[in-house]
Amino acid sequence: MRSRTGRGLALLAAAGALVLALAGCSGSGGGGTGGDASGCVPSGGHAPRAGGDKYIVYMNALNIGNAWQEEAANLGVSVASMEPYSKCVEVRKELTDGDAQAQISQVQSMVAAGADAIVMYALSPTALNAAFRDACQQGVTVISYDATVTEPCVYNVSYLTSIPQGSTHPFMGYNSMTALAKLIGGKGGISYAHGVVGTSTDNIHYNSAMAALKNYPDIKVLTEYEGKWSSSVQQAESAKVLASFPNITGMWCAYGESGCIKSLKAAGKEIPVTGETSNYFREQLLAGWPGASIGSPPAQGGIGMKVALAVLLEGAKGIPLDIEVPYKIVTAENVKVCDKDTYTDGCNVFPPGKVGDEETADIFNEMLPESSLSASQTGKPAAGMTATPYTADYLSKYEQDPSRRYVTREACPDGWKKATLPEGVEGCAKG
Amino acid sequence: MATTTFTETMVTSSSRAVPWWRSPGFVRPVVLLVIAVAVLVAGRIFSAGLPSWGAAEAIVTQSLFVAVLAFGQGLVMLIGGLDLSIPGVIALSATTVALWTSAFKGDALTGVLIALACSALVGLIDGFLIARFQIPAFIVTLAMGGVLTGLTIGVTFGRTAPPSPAAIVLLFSGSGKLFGVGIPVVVFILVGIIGYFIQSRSTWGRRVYLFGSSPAASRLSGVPVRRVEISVYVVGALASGIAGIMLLGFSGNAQLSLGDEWMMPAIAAVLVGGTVIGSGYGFWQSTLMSCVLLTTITVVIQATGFSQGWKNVLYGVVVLLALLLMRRGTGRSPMRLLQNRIRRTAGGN
Repeated sequence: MRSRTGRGLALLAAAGALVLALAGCSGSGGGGTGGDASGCVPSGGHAPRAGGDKYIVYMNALNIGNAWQEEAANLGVSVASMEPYSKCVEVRKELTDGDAQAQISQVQSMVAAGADAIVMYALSPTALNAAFRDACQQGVTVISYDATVTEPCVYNVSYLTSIPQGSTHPFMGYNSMTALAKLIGGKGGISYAHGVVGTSTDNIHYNSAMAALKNYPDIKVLTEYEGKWSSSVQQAESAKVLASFPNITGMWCAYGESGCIKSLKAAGKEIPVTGETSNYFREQLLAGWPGASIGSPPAQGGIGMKVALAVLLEGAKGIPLDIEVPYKIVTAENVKVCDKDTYTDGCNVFPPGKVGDEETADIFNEMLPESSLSASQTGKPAAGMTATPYTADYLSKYEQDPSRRYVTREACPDGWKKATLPEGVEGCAKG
Repeated sequence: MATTTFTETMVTSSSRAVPWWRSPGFVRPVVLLVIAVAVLVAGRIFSAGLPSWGAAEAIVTQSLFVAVLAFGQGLVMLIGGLDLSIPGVIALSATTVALWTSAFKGDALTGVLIALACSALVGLIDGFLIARFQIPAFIVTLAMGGVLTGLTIGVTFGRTAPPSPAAIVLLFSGSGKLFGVGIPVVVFILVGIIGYFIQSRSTWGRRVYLFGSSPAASRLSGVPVRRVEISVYVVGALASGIAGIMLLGFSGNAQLSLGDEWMMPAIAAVLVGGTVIGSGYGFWQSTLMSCVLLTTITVVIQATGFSQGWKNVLYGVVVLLALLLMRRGTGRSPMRLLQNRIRRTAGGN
């Protein structure tokens, strides 16, 4: 922490010097086109790196034909295109086709193209560290949303370690497994569908889910399989599971849970399922299917963008580097149709048939009231929608608890040491 | 030299010398089916739920998708090629049908016809490049697969997968029933019969075998070889296109990754079925039954409850064992095959 503050101060000083130098330039030129003229440059902040009168902000997502990624990217782009940001910011969408290696060169070219902030879906928690560090040193604000990175200068904006509303425990895996256990009455045989085996996110889900199961000794995991965060893979694999275990009493499914439901329907079974946030799944909950829907909200793309713009336009002072995005557990009891296409507190499913199976109402989040269905589909803000910038005070309410720092940074804050959390995941303990 | 190999192959594949019930074209599929049933019954060791009719139906349903792909892949492999564009063609055809019926409000039948026409066109381009310029098939089809995936992303703008028309869902999701069984089971039987007539009973099928065993000999006997070679890729791509439509119905929407998981099982099924790459030797009915066997194995492995890594290892080992057994069954040691191949290459084509 201390060293980070030191580096931050050095960066601030460097940025300040740069502003002074640029101000001098524009003064001697006699023009008024500097960032200051528009009132965009915060006190202590730096003028746009590329030299124009707008900051250049990159919004990155993965180009894998996955609704989630597209929604996240569109929300990020749309919020940056709203007043009051639009007069200070030029947003560019950049998709990643390849792997972490491809992302490294993307980061380098964004920095070279004059990026002032990069909002990134990082494919690896560590592989991009050097590229990110280099970007930070050149005065670029870097945000990693949903997927976290260990590089200390990058802001992590993620639901990964958040405590969902209505629960006292963090971690999606822990909460969804607890929900499943309750739904099946604390006994029986279940299946566990991984996402992509070996990724850090999948490990966290799995370890915390298994820790939750320790409270329910009468539940047996009959089989685990790899669903690859794809509903078509989940469907084929879960159909095999149902063939092998006709007496199964519950299914824990990672993203792509609509595949689990579809294979259950084909087999003529209705048993409790926990899965992520797809509209298809929530439509089933709406129709009374026993289950719990809990998972990663694509609103994180827009939230990540707003954090980047807060750092850029309000200054970094007081904004936590580790931000936990809030999310909810949706069950047959609290599933509620969204009547409007804009944010309404408490609604969590679009009317059946309105959106695609894999789209989700979790484009809405208390941290992103600027969200709308059209924005998530097109990247253009809903008509007349303006943004409410974050303040440091507001964001500090969402600062990550230090005990969960190890999960995202692979390091503990000063004065804390590594320890296993009650939810079965490596975290930090005081002392 | 080439002619010798060709005659040998023709004798074994047409098998006039032995009675039909002892010919490999009958014995092998029966053996494969018996093993599949035995494996399913042995699944009892791991799960009290096995064997069951439900499990059998699920197995046949998933075998259907593998079988349709393996039909196309099998023909391509008979003539020494390999089709790696399968996931791309599946994504293309599923997306075409789904977009046509959802975004353009067209009817499902027209959508299917357009999708099949697109698939055939892909096969035509593949085949032309391979036959005309002698580029290795796996390179052409790999590149084509990449192009198709890119195109599909471009057309859908990476948006949410468009939904399948309801009729196709009813046909292939397993929810629709016919004669008391799932419709996919009926379709599986139909695919088996149609495939047999195309591959083993039609003039075109015989020409493919002939071309596979010896392009030189087939040219000498007046077969339009280039046209036959191209037509194999067209039929292969059509099979992938049909599988794409089936998978669209199975999943309910046209995801880009729809076909990713199905290409390798199809290749494995062709090989375990005993088709020898580029030899003009192989039987559709064995491929069909090896689809059933391999799917049964994955179901039973699923039932073991091992962790994912060990399941993958186990599946790999079982497929390797099956391949070795099939080799022994044909009386062709890998060494002899290699010799034959070298001889044929030396003979030129």
